[in-house]
Amino acid sequence: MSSLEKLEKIDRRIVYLILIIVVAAVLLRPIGLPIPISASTKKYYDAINSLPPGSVVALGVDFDAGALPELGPMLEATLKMLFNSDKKFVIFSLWSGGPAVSTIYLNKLKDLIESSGKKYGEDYVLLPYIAGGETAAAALAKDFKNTVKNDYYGTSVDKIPLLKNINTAKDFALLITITAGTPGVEEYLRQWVSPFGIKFCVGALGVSAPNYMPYYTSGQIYGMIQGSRGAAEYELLIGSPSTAASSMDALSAGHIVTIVFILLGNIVFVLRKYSRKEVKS
Amino acid sequence: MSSTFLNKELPIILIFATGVIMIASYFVSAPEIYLDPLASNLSQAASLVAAYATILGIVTLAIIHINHVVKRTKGQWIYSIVALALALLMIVVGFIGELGTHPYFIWLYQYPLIALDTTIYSLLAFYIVSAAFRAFKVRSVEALILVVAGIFVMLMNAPVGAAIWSGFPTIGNWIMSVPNSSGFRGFIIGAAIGAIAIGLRVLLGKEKGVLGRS
Amino acid sequence: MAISTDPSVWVAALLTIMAYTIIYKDNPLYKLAEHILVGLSAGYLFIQTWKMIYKSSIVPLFNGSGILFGGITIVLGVLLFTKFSKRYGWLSNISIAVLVGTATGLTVRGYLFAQLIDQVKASIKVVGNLPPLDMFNAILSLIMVVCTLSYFLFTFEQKGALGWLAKFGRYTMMAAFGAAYGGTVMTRLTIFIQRMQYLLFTWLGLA
Repeated sequence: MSSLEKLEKIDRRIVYLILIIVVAAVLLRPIGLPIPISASTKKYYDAINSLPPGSVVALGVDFDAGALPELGPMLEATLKMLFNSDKKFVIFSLWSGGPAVSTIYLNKLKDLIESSGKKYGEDYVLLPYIAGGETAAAALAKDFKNTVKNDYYGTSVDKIPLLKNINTAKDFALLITITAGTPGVEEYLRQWVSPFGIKFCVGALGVSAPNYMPYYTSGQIYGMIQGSRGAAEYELLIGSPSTAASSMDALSAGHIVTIVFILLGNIVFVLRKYSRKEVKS
Repeated sequence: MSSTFLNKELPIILIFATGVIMIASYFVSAPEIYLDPLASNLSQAASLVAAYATILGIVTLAIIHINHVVKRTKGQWIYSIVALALALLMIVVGFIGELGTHPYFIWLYQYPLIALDTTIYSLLAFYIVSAAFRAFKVRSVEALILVVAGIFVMLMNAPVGAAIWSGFPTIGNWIMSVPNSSGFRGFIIGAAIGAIAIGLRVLLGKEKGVLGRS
Repeated sequence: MAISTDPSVWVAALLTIMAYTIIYKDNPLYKLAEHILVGLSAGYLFIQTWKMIYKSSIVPLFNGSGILFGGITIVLGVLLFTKFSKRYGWLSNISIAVLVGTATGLTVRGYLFAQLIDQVKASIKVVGNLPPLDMFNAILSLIMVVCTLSYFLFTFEQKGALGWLAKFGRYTMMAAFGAAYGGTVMTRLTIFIQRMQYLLFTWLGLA
């Protein structure tokens, strides 16, 4: 076997080990590369920031455990911004993981909630999971309170002051979904944005952001956080760099490893092609 | 009523009627026949049917594992006991106090479930890097475009791209907002036309497969 | 920082390592981890879904706030379980019909406005006072959308002008797939990095 052949048939576990070593090394010795802010993240921030005081935001926590590493920081930063602002918000979820994920972050931000003076039920509320995907999105948009009936802790929606004037999607000043896929962006576009004309912002996985670009460039999505990179930008924008920002150097290292392997794979491929041609001639 | 009517025609009539109510409520206002509340109640009811269907799925999963345990399927039945026991544990803890709010229930989600779910998802990082080396070969113009677009977008996403050359994020952004956006827009428009056509066929009873019949 | 003394962190860390053993080779530890996840996920989903059914379907029936609605949804829900019977399995089609009909009605009208009309409108916004570069991008984008769509025209043979359009459409799609690949790499790496952060910092305390 030639050395090129050996390289081409390298044990995949060596590739895995290289990735682990490079990422661990950069995590332990971060470089501190600057993180420029993109326009789509800035618009997400502006959308919340520019709302009049007392506006009610619909915050869809539409993901579960698997997407937590990328979307968790977005949710945490969004909650921090909302708790530090004069806006009110309703957390709901078309994904079963939403209530548990929201509870974890609300517990994490306990001190901030206390210092912000925000009161549960008056300034923010956590609703349970609503099954059904598209039908659930439509039901919420048309008749919000009748669809959920109770908050996550079992209190009837009629007894929650914040929900007193919330009947349809029109009663929210902004819709945000932090979503791992379906149900998510497209369901809200079809059932909330298009029929009710509500302003819409999205926190998307890096893998889904390219799919949502047509909606962002068309203006149907106003602002969008794109993956963990976007989350890091947003953390910087709200002045509270956290998990996402601290992982950016390792993310760069991981990308470089991937690109080097793509290039290396192609160099070996081309060299092998030429060496075969030479043998033939 | 004949069994053929109940079995075959009633579901198709129901699909047509419910579908038409949902479409009509969007275009016409007919308070005299309570069209809007009807449509609203219908979407709430459909969400609940979807919830029952989820329970059906979980019951089916449990039956599969119970069968493994009963039949002592080699190399599986012990794992099936583990799956069933943990599902039961989660359900029992979930029923303590207000459904699904007990701190132990959240703990089971926050520590074991999140750790396992994210770890299993993260395995794809290894496979994707390995595949980058083995399979991402430039054999045609199309493959070249794919690789080049991928690399520019990666260098836009990773802060190191801007540190190497400020052009990387600029070009990456352009790829995202022009060729990528146009490509996916083409898919969206095509898929929308397809979905509308299929949707109309479903409503008219031409697509019987939706009811699980061939 | 020292190694964590929190038992919860240890549980999460050991389960993480258990699941990572698969990258060496398939083994019983990984299979065990996989089944723990299946069990916990199924139990969790059951509770969250049951909560919705209980509060929105069962309680309204018994407290009188929605006898008709609660009754109908319970009947539709229970009918689904006839799937297990060979004799009465067809009854579940009634519930499926309500779900399919409602969802189809909703998606058809939704697709028409949010995804067909609005996206076509966005494609043709090349007129107006756009700066030259934006105008160029808008025209190029329109061409790319048309070419991508023409790739899916199978009614005619893709020769001549249509062949060229379809070819350019294929190139556009490849650029889109490349961008999607770039996004996928970011997501997968992020999840992996987060697990590494958990093991190195939260568990081992190597800050």
